[in-house]
Amino acid sequence: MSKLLTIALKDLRIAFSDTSALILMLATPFAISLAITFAFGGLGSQGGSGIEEIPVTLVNQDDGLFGELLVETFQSPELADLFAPEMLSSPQEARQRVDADESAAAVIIPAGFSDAVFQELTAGEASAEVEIYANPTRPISVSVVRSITGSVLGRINASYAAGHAAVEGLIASGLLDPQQAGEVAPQIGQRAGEQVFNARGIRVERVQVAGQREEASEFNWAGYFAPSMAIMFLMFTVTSGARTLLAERDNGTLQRIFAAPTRPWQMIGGKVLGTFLIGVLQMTILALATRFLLGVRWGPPEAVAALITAVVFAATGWGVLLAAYARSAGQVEVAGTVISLVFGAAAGNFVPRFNLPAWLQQASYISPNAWGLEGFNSLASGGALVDILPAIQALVIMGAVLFALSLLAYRRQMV
Amino acid sequence: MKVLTIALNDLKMEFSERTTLVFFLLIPLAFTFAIAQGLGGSGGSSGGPDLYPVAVVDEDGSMLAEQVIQALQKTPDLQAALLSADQAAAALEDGEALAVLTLPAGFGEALAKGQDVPVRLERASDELEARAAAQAVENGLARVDSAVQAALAAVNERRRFQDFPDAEAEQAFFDDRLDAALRTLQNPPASLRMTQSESAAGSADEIDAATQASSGQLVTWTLFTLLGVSDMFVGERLLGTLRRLIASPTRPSTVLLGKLVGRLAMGWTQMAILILFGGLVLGVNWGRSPLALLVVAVSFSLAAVAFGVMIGAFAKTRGQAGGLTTLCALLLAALGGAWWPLEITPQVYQALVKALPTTWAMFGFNEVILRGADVRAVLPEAGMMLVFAALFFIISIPRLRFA
Amino acid sequence: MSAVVELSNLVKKYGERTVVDNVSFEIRQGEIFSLLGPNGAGKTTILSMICGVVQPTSGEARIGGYSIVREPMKAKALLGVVPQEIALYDTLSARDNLFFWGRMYGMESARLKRRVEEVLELTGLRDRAKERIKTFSGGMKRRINIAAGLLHEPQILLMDEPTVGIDPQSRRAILDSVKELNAAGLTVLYTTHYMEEAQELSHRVGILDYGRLIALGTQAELTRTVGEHEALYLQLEDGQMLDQLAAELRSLPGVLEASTTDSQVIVIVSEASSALPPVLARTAGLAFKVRSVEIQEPNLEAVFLSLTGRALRDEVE
Repeated sequence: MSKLLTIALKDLRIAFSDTSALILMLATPFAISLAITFAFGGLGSQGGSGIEEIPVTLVNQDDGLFGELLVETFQSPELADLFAPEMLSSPQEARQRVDADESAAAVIIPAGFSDAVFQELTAGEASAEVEIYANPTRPISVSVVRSITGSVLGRINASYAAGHAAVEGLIASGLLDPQQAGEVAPQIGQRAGEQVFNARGIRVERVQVAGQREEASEFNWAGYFAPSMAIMFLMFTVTSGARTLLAERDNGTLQRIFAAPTRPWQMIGGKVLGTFLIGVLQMTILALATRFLLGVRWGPPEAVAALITAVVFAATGWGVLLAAYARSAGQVEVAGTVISLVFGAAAGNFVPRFNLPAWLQQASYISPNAWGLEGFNSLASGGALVDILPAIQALVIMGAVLFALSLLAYRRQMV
Repeated sequence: MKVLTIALNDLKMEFSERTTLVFFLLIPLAFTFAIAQGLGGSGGSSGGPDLYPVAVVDEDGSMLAEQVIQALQKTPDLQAALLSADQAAAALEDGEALAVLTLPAGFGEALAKGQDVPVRLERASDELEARAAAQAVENGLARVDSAVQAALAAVNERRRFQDFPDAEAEQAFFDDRLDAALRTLQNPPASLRMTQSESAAGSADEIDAATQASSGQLVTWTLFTLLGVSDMFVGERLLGTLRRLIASPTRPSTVLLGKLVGRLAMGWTQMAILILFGGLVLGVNWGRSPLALLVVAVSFSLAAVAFGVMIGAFAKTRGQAGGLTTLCALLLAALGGAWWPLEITPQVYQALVKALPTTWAMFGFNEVILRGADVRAVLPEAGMMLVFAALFFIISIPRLRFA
Repeated sequence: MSAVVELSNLVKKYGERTVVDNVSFEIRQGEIFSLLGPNGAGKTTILSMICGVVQPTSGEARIGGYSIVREPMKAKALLGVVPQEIALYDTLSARDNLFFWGRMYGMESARLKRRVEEVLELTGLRDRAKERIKTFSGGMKRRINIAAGLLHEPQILLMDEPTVGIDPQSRRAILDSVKELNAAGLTVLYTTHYMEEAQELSHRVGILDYGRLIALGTQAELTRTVGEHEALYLQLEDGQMLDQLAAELRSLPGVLEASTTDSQVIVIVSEASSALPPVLARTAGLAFKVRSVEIQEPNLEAVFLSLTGRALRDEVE
């Protein structure tokens, strides 16, 4: 047993004395997590989309109520963080801003907009149309502008519908003379409209299938990418452990270990234990660092610890399998990198998992990355140990199967 | 020419390893394909569902609930089915419904009284489709809500003139006004029209997510290849062949140039393959000006290979070179906007990452692809990348050791 | 005889450390010149300066009259280089390597083709030409290494420890090739720490120690510096601790120098017959068992010993 530990500790010492490996192991995933957190909402926040200060150009050629309303919405204090509005007087100038990529969109309210809306009340011909001139390189910003504009227009239309319904109803009930309507209608319409403008009856409670209420309807990038990067670099680390096994065979230290009375399982066990410890250490450091320095929430500590252990166990299994079947240290290096990248991409380490095709998501379950990512996501959005038990189970089985396969290979191959 | 000899020799060496092809071609192609597949599902020219399947559970049964269901069924984006609670739950889990709307008992009554009524909208997942489906349901709900409020307001106005004779009359009036309001809202007066800057695709809706992702993928994978020149330098230095090259009557500048040409040839070939593959097989729209695309790609490759030389000058072992290559490729790609769009990041972040060459590459590619820019429009971006290239070379060349 | 290589006051310093200290010598046309010295003496650095890979701190090296600093291209074209490490692309074939290096020396196609075949023939590797260097044995790699240096028919071949770590057969083959090439007119600068090689091959020898040239001349001239002295070689039984022995022997009258290596003791004496008895007596008196005794004309080893007080082999693995 102590031989096992000795070998494991030797590997740990070597791993932590190799600066370039250390950089890759720890600094890279941390740097990426840092970058991502910074990219998505700054330090200390829970994350969420950091879209802010969308530059939007406004042109209001209307001299009525509704144009003013639309402009005020974009300039409102509530939306002050989201938008950086700029008022211009010329539509051409506004479009130029967009063309020059200085603005995400130009919202152009035509002259007579409010009147056109009101005209519906009586005539019903011209339609009041707001133009949004979009910047094609900022599709997300554009969709936000569009959505806000759309909702204001929705309110305007609701008011209009209210006024229209009221006046029409009165005329139909014979309480209002069509000739009189012209004088009184605007007043009625306005009152009805005002009543309706901010009224809402239906309140939507958004729920995601896992049963958790989501705080932000936007995707939590930082919370997703911190564990994602940690897992991906874990795979790099364990395959590197595999490489050292073969490097030892190549440069003769392996034979030397066997020349001393050491059994194969002690050797393998020691290597595996070493790699396992390194992996756990690495992920723990990353989890703690991103938690305390960047405010990324991973979830309840005991659940996170259990999941980390399971993920590292499965990942180590892959590393050992690789070492068992590869012929040279060089081969392991390449195969290890390939596997790390493929698993990483397929499971959703680079591009959020839900954006990948369903078949790929299924296929990626062969990797520890997929299970780990889903598990960590679950924990980060409020889950507990009990929710990730299936994932832990799968990972433990994966690791066990891989170790068994490796032992078979080693038996045949032992130097 | 010695430069060509060295370049060809390098290429021969790279490709004498079968594993090079894996990194060079297989993985990038596979990723590009998979991501295009996945993102293509969100709509656009590469297809996607025409209708989002959703389910409605009606625990209320009132006329207003009926109105909601009808409104949703009439919504062009949705395929709304009326199901029981259990059926709906099952459909959600199986993925047959992207969202489930539950109208609770008492919904119609409370709403008609002008009260605040909560309804439950459950979304299958975080996927783009599910989000879009849920949004469409909410829009439908909003329309009904507005119509109800309008009808309520009409009732109020009516009451000002004259009270209703009885509750039935009021209800009848309300129903009638609700119909009217719903009709009005089918063709509302105020609307918006989307127009767009000069764009390669032609309409704001036509740029699909696969196209958006394509340039990011291009940048990421060619970055690995081009930064890999560092390993070549370090490897040859340790092997002793670099020293032998200098001992021969070959100028150091020739050696450097030869290696750069070899590596650039690799990078350009890779980019060409990815661009052609994306364009021909995946239907990616690479913009209107091949020349502009070329200018951006070439200037990017120069900046990248220069960065690689910088790594080669500072790294002492092949392990370091490899590790730094991976680290820098991933960081530069990610931070520069190759994996997620810059527009959703804070202003400060956007300003800071302008210090990276990849950011400018993404700007350039986006101009070409999303705006259909021509060469003149991308000259600033190309220029910046050339400046980066020059800077990296100035830093690294004096530090290059050949022995 | 004209000088093919001339070194004048060559100095190389790395910071405060002087690695090559004011070395001057010349290599004459048609000779084999050995630079002999323990590891770390500066042999490789001198070689590196001659072929322009390292810049001298001061001093000059001329090849065929061209200064390596001022006219490097012309100078390098005259040199063939066989470096200490196998500086070849091991994922490429022998032939591919040769063609590449030939082009680096500016050889044009027809001549290159002919020469590649010739050197492959010369080094006996013609039938392995298409295989990757990776698959070659140590000896074969060294032979291709040499072949690459000979391709462009240089005037002078610089060989840096070309026989390190290879089997006796390959080593023999290499030594024989060097002699053949030299017989055909090639000038050779050969660095080594193996005295036997230097002895076998060279016309003239330069002995280097700590960056300084401490002896230069033909073998006969060098051994004469040891004077009319003779050398005693005592082979002792294995496994004994010999440290004090040298010092003890040195204190005997008639003993000029003494040094021990492994189980061998070298003693430089003014006259063998009179010195031998006290040497044996003292040795036995210190409880050392002597297996055999040889009296020899001093060799290069002895020269080094008398000049430095250390054995050539002491410094070596």
